[in-house]
Amino acid sequence: MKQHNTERLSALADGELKGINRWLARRHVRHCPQCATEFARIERVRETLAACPPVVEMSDSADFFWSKIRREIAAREQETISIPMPRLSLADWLQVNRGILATVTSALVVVAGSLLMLQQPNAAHPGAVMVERVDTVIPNTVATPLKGSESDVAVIWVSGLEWTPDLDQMRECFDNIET
Amino acid sequence: MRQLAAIALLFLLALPSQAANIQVRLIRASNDSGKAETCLADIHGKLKEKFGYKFYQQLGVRQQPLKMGEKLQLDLGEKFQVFVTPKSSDKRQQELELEWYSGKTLLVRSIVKIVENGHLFVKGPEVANDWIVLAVSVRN
Amino acid sequence: MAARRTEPLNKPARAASKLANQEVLTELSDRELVERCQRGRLEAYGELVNRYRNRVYALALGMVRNEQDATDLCQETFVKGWQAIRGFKKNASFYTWLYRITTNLCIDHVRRRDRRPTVEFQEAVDQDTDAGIEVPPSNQPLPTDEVRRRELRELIEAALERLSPEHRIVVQLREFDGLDYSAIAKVVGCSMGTVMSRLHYARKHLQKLLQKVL
Repeated sequence: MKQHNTERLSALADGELKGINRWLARRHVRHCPQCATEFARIERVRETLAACPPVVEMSDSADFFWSKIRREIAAREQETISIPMPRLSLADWLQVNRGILATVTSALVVVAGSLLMLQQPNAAHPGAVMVERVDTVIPNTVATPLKGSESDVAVIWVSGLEWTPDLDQMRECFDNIET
Repeated sequence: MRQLAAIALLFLLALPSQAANIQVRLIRASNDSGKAETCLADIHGKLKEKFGYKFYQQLGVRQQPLKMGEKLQLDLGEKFQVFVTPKSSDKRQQELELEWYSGKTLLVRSIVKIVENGHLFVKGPEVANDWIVLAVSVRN
Repeated sequence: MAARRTEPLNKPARAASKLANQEVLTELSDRELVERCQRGRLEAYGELVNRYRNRVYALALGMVRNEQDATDLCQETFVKGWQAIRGFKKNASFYTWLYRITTNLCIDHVRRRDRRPTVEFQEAVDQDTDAGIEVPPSNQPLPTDEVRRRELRELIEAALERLSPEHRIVVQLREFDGLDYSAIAKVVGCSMGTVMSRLHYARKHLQKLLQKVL
């Protein structure tokens, strides 16, 4: 707790902090005398209240009270009402259900990632094409791998081959080469 | 639980595991407009960028599935042949030994790693004002 | 041959049956009782009333600071609860729902009344100094420990009465009803952060008020 968030001391005492938040708060209390004192005071208040809870009892006896309710229910027998269930705000619901949310989010990420990987026909893989080795046995000829900007294209440049005016002569030329 | 394991196993086996195919094209790069080809539309831009010519003509094309350890012979016409030997396969990357022959003469030998939809271009002999180019790619 | 004595045997059997039914109800959980209520069994609701009437009353008293009003509001809570029980979702907490009804009724009551609750409570205290304090049944002198506990309880009650209704409610729900922050937030209708803040400052206030005994 970087800035002595004393409100969180109550939450710590009530066991409402979980996981890393609880660990951080406990560590802070161990090292901060001011917050340690405050935490001890909160604990004493809680212990005192727990030791002597106020006893509040209705003056009506149980049977009398129930008879009044039954009478009132009978009088309003035809009425039906709807009372909404109490709900947390979205922020609080997300906080309380962090575990479920994390699990669902992780599952969604895994599923989405799997689908993406299975549907990647055209995606280029980084470092897609690499020329490991190249050579030529024709005399006075050099074969050179060229480095390009694109990772999915590689070029081998063969230079020194004899020029020919057409394909027929090219074939004849190569047939006559001694390697 | 056993049924679940069986279903999971079937699912894994059904995952894409088709054999990769190698495609080799023999191309003539030219500035002569009479020699344009539409079948090279997929690599036309890359060819133009690498070699500078305006037009590219496909003289021959062969495609075969790769089989580990088996040497493939691809006859491209004009007495050009390419021999391909798969060396290893790593997920989608293929390590191949390529040998480009004109008749019985080995023009160039190379060991390359190509992934699916990657391209290897080999600039070959010059004929008249044109170049002969080999285009190699791996597809599923 | 002796005459068959059927009539005297019936009455004890009927009483025993009734007693057995009551015992069964007390052993049922809130959820099971609610299920029976939703099927129209009023006696099951009676058990729920018995379980929660004092807690609902304490909550109402903490907000309205008047015993008669608190009793009326407690009664109204349970009547409305029966009217709306069919719509109650069984996966939720019954007492949270009940407390929420109580809180809403009390808020409406305080708004209609439009009086400062601390002043009203002070008046109520002046009228009945024993309000909320347990009276021992016998006239024998109390053991010292018991005297001390009684004094401490009076001090605590006096200190709680000095809190504002918002602070008192969160203390009551947390310290005496054992609700967690999310349940308190649902009952009171605020965020958990507000619950934490109110609880913290209520405790700080109590700390000052109970300095002598802490």
